[in-house]
Amino acid sequence: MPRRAPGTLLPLEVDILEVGAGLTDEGERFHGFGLAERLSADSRRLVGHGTLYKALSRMLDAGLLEAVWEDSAIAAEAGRPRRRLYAVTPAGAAALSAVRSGERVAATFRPAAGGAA
Amino acid sequence: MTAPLRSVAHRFARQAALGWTLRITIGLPRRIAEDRRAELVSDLWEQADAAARAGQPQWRLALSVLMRTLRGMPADLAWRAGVLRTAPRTAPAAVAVAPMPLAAPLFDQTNGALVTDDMATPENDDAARLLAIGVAANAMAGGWGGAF
Repeated sequence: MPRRAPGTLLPLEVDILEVGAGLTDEGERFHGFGLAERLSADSRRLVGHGTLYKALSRMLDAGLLEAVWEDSAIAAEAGRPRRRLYAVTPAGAAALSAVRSGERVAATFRPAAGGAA
Repeated sequence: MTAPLRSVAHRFARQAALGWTLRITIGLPRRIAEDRRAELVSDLWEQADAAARAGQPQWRLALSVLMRTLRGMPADLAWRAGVLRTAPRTAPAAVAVAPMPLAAPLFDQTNGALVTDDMATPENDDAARLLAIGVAANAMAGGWGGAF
């Protein structure tokens, strides 16, 4: 896994922001497996559980994403486990814009260790 | 939406993924551990559902789950280490070395009825195809788990 330089995003994090920002713009939240599917659209190889959820955790801690657990009643009605639904925050969108323009994202990205939101 | 059918191979792969996640979340703050476990349960269900809708063979689904688990292990360990650096432990580290086949059902119970695997008669012969990978996954889980 690439070592992170301060104020930068890892390639997977940029990909997550790219996919997530598109969905967030459409008013949709996304869940882990749905994201993995979209990320693997080209390679057909799903990202590892640990890789994906570590990145999501890191991005939550950094304020680039926000997450809520789906209402239990909705999940029960659909007959499946509750989804944890993510959305790109304004800080995440700004970080993505910065990446696209070749800037560092130190102003919006505050790396934090490990914990999940 | 219907619950995905599970072959022996898929159940095995799923238990390996759940067992591994149980291992790497034992001793972490409760909310973080529960979130991670519940998120994996959801992920596994969604993948199985997507595979069923796509008509994907069960052995391929099982292989994908195992490979996702294996590929994610280094990140899982790094994530765990990061959490432990910033949060106090909530359980003795020795618990984390419980054998995966025993630990996984416990995990299932903590996450509700959606993971009530049974030990049904094998309906597919694809379990053998995945046995080698599964054993490797178990061995890796056991080897690394002891380091916690």
